[in-house]
Amino acid sequence: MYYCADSWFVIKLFQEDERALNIINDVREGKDWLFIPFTVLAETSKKFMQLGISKKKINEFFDIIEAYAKVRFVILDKNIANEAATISLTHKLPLLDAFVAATSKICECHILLSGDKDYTLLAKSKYIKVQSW
Amino acid sequence: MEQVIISKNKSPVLWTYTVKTGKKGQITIPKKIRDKFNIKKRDPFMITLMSDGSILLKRETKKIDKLLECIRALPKIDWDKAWKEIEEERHLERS
Repeated sequence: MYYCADSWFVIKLFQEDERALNIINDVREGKDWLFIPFTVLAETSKKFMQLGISKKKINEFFDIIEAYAKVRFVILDKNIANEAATISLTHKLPLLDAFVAATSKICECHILLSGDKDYTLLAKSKYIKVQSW
Repeated sequence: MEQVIISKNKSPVLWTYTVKTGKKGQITIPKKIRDKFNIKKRDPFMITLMSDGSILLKRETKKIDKLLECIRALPKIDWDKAWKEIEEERHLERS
């Protein structure tokens, strides 16, 4: 299974959510893949800094995640940028949401892990599959 | 609580404590052991009944210990609120 993580999923990890931790465990054991767009890293890092968490701690967290064999941080490349621009226009999505959805699509992820309601339309049109709990 | 220390070099037993069960059968792991092994609230344990009648309490090794350790070292934060703020910020861009 290929997962794409939205900031929502990162927050779930910080909440020690059991399902989120199970997914991480499966990724760590090599059963599944997890793709994290760099935009998610930027968005969550900004929020964590606003909450007073040190850059050192934030880096430590993402370093641990990145060390898992089947985790990939995804660079915003031309393909993703073009795709994001298109779906941002066609589905009236904020660009940041569009970057995440486009990453999920381009990386051929089976599921985008997100609780953001803005993805409902994309999920309904079967552009991507979204999972939340 | 009486503490008996058995620290003979050849013995596999390091410490022995006497504890009493609570109302629902709970027992408290002595602080010295909790501190030594960094045992935190809600850490999972496996309880095994041995054939000789003894009960073995073994800490379950979490495969993502390092990650949890990192998360638990953070101050208490309202993560639901944090996610709502992220969503709101995204919506601001749209409007």
